[in-house]
Amino acid sequence: MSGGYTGKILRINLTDKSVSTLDTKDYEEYGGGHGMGSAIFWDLCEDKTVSGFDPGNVITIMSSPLSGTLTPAASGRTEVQGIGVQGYPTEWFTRSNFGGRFCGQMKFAGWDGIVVEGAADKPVWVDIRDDDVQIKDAEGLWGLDTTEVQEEIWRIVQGGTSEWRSLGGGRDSGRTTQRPAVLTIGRAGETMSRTAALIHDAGNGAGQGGFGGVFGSKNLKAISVIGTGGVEVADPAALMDARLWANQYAVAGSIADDDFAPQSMGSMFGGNPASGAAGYAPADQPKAPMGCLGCHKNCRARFQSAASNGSSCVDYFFYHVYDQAAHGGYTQAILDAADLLQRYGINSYQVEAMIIWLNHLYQEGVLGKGKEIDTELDFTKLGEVSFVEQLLDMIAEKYDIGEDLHEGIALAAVKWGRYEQDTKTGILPIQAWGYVQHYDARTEVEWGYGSLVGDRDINEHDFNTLVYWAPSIASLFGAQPACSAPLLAEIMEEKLTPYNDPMMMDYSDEGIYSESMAKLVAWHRHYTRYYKQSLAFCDWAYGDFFNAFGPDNRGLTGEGEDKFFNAVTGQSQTFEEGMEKGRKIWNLDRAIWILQGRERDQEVFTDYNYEVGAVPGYTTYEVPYVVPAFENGEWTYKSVSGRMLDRDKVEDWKTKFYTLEGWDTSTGWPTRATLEDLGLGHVADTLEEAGKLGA
Amino acid sequence: MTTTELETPETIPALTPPSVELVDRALRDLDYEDRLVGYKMTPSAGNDRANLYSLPQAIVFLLGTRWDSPMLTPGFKGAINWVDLNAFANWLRDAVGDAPLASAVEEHVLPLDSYYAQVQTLSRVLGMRMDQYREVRGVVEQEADEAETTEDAG
Repeated sequence: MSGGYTGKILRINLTDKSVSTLDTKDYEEYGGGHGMGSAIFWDLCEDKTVSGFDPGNVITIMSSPLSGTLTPAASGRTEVQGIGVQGYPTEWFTRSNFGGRFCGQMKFAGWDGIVVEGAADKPVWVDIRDDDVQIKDAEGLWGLDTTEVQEEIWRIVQGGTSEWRSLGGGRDSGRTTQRPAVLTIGRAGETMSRTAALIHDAGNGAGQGGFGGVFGSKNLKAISVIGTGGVEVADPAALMDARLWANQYAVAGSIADDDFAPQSMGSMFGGNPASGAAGYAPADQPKAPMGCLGCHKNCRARFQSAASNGSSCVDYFFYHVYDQAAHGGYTQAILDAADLLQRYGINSYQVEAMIIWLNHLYQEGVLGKGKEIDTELDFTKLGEVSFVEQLLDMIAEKYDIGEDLHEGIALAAVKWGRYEQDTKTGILPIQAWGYVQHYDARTEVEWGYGSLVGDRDINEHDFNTLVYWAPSIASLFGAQPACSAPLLAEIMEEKLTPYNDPMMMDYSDEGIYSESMAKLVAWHRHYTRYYKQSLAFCDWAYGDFFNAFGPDNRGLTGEGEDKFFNAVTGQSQTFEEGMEKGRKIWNLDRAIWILQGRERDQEVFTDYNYEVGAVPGYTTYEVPYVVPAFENGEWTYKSVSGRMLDRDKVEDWKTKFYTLEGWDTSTGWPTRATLEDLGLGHVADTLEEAGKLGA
Repeated sequence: MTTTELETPETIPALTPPSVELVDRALRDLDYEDRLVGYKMTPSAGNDRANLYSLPQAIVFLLGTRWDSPMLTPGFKGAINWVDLNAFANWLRDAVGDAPLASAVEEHVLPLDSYYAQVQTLSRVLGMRMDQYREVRGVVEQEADEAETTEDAG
């Protein structure tokens, strides 16, 4: 077994309360994380067409060989997979991911991952202390919020002390000062909401996919893990050298601290190592940076009030506009609202879009007390914490409009007869598969396309900062981004192996339908499936293409990932080999979706993407969208705000993409040749038996 | 990102003082059809629509960006509140009902090169106008107080 792996995966059957192990070596070819999870799901989930709530659904919670090691921004992320319950109209096999230290503790306890099968007949929690695994009655935990349940489990396991303790009975049984890492659900998960999240520690959540509801369907309140072991690294000196080498790409570069902010823009690996504390908060609120296990970036924040601790991204942002509107500035309400979201265990991205949409319906006069959609939800309190509490309680406890919202906004919109209408105008910005638009498919197409040919909002920022944020924000200042458009194309040509095509950066009106754009999307699918979701390199640090601190402004992607992987495992993998593993995992996922019923004609965006352009009186339908484009023989940054997608051209693009992937262009199904080339002959056999093998 | 020197007008001529009726109309809550759509641009989280239903709400939103923050440090937790300022000018005239303010925005704000420069100048224009609103409201309140005092004395 290579370094970095513990060699075994914990298999828990909640139906018969049995515990067994899988041999990690059987799945090592997939790297770890997502790849292993998909392969395990393929092997163990007998009927892949069941609902995510069915006991037959198999959930994998996987680490990577890099988890718990010194690898920067790759040590603390855990991958979750299984049939999700958020997807619409199909509950696709899907994934989510969370940070913190759960995967590290899992490795320290001797496990590369956890597989959960079946469903308990009454609430349980799983107590893992090294090799000792027990399925315990959760009667005393059911009903607690996600903070309370973690504190209670710490008390149970730890006995209220933070001193050195032995987990076993003997002197040599292993000791630790750590608290157990707990993955849990709140009330929303217990009531099987499709919008329920899994929560770990403070501020770590796996929101998309509705896995909190899946845990609830299995009567699984929490998994707690603590270990006293370590991770065997094949070449510790090489790992230390790699970490020191990587410093040149971080803030330790040549740019002075007070000058790094604008110049580091787009340098995913670099930047202020305390950036999490650099943002806004109530003015009188001291805060400190906070990060996941082993991370050099610390992109989260810890607040003096303790509310919202560790919250990041949208769970921190979902309410701040309303707070500002109600109070004239940012107040404690932002933090308290984030805290409530965590405690109920609800998907922040759904709630953010939900409030916008509900408020829209309220202002339109459709929703409100005595209205067509009758509700007691008090919109006069929008901006106050009480509004958030009322809404979240309705969802978690299934009353008032919460009974419908409990099923997620897509199904609520269907039930209220609003889905067609509101996705046509875009006031309900569901892009595809029931997931709310994260970035606009009409402008930043690689994000939209990636989601469309996949299973969910991809939430992968590899190109996002460089092709969208940097030029768009620069334009607001009347400036140019640090990475010019010609340089961006040049760097991407070098970095995006095996395609190495500069035209992949062409987001012009023609470029977005090109074969080069098909290559960009394919590269993205393969890279993220392996390096980010299987080896668990964090989305907020990789891929690192342009880097203000790196040599010749090049980032570490293409070299750094394998430098770390090889040091930890002792292998000698090349980037090309890693990308090929990503292609294999991507095709395996595709096969699962096909067994679930995926067809080419299902892969269409909602109507607003094709029909809504600039609104009269506005120069655009949304924010400035400035992206790289190759026009008149030159690379430039160009505003594409107001652009709509062309249905026929999207279909043409799909044909190009399917062709590139080796899939049947009429169905979107992989062919036997493609699958066998990837070592997935057994998958081809299964698809053929199901009559779903591409021709 | 390389920065450019901010160019904004040195002086902005005073606007014609508003009438009591204009101030009352401009400060009212608007209907759904008359809303102004803004967006909060949040690196990492994405962009989200913000429907604005009154002039005060729009001003808080428009001037609510913390431009002094390290805007786009990776992992930074901040946002830019963005409104299409062409649409904003139209909205001031057609929905809010303050044509002089709309004209001032068109004349002094829209020609500027960048959104950042536009918002800095917009802040001054709106500040001047709100002072005028407050003055009108103050006179009205003072007159009301005096009337009440006279009535009490009588």
